[in-house]
Amino acid sequence: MTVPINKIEPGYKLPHLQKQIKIENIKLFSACTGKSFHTDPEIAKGMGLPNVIAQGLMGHIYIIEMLVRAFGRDFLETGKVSAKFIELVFPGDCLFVRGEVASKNQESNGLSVALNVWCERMWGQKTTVGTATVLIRNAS
Amino acid sequence: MEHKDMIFDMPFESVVLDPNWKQVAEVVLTPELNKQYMDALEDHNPLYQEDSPYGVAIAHPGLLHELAFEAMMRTFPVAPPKGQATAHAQQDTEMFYPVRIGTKVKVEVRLSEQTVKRERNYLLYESRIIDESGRMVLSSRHHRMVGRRN
Repeated sequence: MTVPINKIEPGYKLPHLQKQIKIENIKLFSACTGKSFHTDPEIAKGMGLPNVIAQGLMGHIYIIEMLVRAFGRDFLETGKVSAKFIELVFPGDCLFVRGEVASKNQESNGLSVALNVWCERMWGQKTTVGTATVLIRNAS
Repeated sequence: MEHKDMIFDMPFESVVLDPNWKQVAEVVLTPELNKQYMDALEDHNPLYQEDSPYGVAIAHPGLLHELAFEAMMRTFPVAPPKGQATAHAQQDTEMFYPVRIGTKVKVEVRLSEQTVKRERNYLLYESRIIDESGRMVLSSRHHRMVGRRN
């Protein structure tokens, strides 16, 4: 866990991630779908899109990456994320992945922390928005 | 790994909901698969590598999510009405245990809800990943918009 426990208060902003969206990464992530508008620019253009688009799930996993960096094993073993995909993400986009503590509650088995989480473009337009929770088990 | 193209040919109106889980895949989590998702997401956290604090490499969450996604879409390839779009609207995930690379997981899926909201068709796909000891390691709910109501 990289976030100091004494900093976990409502309003605390997690260290953010910056992700440059690349076509080769979208294709690699979406390889299991075979040919699709995530992997084939011609299929995407046939649907009126300018290029392939990233799977919404990539934004969800970027949020998980940020939370694993912040909370380590506690997140991998107790984490929950709920995220809505509200904007398409294209190759060339640069996303900032952010999280902010919404509340905390001491429970018998640790400190339960609720967060607001999101991905946004450089100029602040959100592409993914959601909430997350984690139980920090050795917190007293 | 070669993957067949996904063919979405199940009409929304023909969907039959079933509360029972279907086991649809058994997958060995190889280092190559894990690397594919670490590279795709540019996340090379030591947790997912051989010298992790767990003592072994564990599966990247991206790998587990895509296994679940592929299983759900191939089992229930619901198509929107012709000329309309389908989109992943929301994802809910719960994580319970890390999974060691080199072990086998089972993927179970079900299609549990069919709704219409604001004139759009929605489906709720659910999945869970079970490790070799029978523990659920990850559960997910995939909310999908499948075109407009006719």
